[in-house]
Amino acid sequence: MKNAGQDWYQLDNAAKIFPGQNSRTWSNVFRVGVELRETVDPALLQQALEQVLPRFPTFDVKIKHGFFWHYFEKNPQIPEVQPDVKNICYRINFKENRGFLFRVYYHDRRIAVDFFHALGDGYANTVFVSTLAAQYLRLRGAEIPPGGAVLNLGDPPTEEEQSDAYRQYASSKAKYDRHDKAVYHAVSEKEGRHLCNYTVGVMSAAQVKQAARRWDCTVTEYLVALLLDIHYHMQPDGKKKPKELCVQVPVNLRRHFPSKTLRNFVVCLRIKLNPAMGDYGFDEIVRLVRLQMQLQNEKKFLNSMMTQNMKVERNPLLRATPLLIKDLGVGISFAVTAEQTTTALLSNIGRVELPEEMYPYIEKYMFFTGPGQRNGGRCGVITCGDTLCLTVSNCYRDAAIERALFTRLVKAGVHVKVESNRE
Amino acid sequence: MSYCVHCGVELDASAARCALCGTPVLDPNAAQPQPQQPTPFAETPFVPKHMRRRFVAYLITVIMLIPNIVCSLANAIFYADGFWSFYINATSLLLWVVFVFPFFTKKLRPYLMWAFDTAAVAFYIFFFFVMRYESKAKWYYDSVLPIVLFLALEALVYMIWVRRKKRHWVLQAAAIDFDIGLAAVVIGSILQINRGFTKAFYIGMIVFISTLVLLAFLSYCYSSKHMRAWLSKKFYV
Repeated sequence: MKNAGQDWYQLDNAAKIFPGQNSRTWSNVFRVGVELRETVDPALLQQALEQVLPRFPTFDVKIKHGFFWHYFEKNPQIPEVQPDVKNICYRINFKENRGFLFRVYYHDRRIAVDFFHALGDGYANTVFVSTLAAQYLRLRGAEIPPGGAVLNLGDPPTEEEQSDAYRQYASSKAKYDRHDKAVYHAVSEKEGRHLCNYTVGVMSAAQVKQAARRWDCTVTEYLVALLLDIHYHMQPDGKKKPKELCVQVPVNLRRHFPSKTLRNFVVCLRIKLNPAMGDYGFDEIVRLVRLQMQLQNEKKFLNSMMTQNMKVERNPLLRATPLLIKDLGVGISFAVTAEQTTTALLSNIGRVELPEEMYPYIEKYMFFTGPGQRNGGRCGVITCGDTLCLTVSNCYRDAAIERALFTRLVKAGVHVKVESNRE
Repeated sequence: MSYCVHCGVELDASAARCALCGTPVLDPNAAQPQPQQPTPFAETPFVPKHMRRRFVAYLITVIMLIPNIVCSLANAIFYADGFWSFYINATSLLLWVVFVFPFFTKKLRPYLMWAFDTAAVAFYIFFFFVMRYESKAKWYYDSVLPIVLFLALEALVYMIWVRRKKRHWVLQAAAIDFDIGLAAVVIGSILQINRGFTKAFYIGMIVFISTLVLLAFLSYCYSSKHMRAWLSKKFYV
């Protein structure tokens, strides 16, 4: 929400927790990348970035400490494009990178942007990257009209784009009870500090859809079921009581509520499987996932989740607590909940809609969820045209999760091309 | 276009091995090496700067030096009570060697630390007692030093044994148990022979026999899978 007459923004409801989670070695960062069909010219990309940024005032900010909350302030500096690095999504330091909370990279034919999650969710950042890529292509001589995820740079930023949609739509009277407990993690030897392994599987969206249709489910449900099944079989079959499995699935609330915000507007569903209940076949897991998704991915249920999150923010006692104590509380709660209560994550941005004239210039989109602290399988899915990219971020050296996931897809008849930053 | 023979996935043209299973990419028909292809990802990681360990160690050293210098100067001025500042100097030195010195080495060097820690403990006791009361020199050389050296030797043997290969936790517990028993006997013997404590050896033997009982139980746990399963079931947290 922009405050009238001032160049500062309050952080939206979801964004409020991310600065508190930030540490010297880990941040909640993710990346959206677009691969073009020709090598990227850094000078033109810099020019395009400077032209695009005024259209996104909620990105042109730096984060500041207030007494009670963090807030965003207009950043007077200009961001700089930089050559890509191997360790994608490494931590964000609020004082580095001229204070910007995103980093624009180029590598060969790819433009990629690492975002601090407080700026916006996957959808908002895809819009930013698409608009940037479109402007870059225009500077290279292509004629690309606005449309879909490409915003019109001639239009002024609207109030709705800058608004906190949670405040606008959280209106449920129902109480949402969280019962999150520690779950199974496929833990192995960790990569060094600031390092993470990324493996991208490039596939045909139609083939994945066909594989999902064989189990009578959507692509997201199919991939969640695969993740659950892989972790289900990874858990050692000992005498101990097996631990529950839980895959976190962020849902874009814009599909249920008519918001056009370019900030966070997402809640996370938790799809669970309890092996202590008995043995599960893949068909049962798919059915379980489908039922849970149908139950949770529903407007009223999502509203109750959203409202519950808002309640925390609206609590007068919490509001009056100084930021230092709030951040300490967020840090502790993050250490004992968060990834302790999730086995894996699957975030599906869905299909990126672009103007027809832009498709010939685009090879593919990529979406990298940031490195986990305990989760080896953090998957990001994005589709553009018929190309679906499934990226697995793994903080462990071992590639067992990626291997299991991609070989399962190959066996299901999907042609998978693998690219990785592993050596 | 190459595929992994194990995973069935297509690999990037620049890949030398499969990213999923590590199987090398081999083309038996390739007469000469293929030209280098651009890699899909950048090859250099960005390692953010962070406060160096050594800097922290220097900082703590300076902080520790200040009270030592002040006390030594004060001691030099007000000498009436003897070298009382040795207590502070010796304690600071021991703490520095044990806790601060490891931060000066780039990686953990256990044997070097062992040598320094042993020397620091031996000197600490020397500073504390012998420097002020010279009558205690004999007590130090015939009892304290042998005990310290024996305990250090035990720690060294244990360290070498554990570092050579990963040992089961039951074996480690058994080794520590045996070390305690042996130490009790040796300390008892030293005190009885050199200090004239008549019953010290027997007390040491009682401790040793108690540790043997525990050792028998641990060896049974190690050999019996059933027992270990029962224990983990009963004491499951």
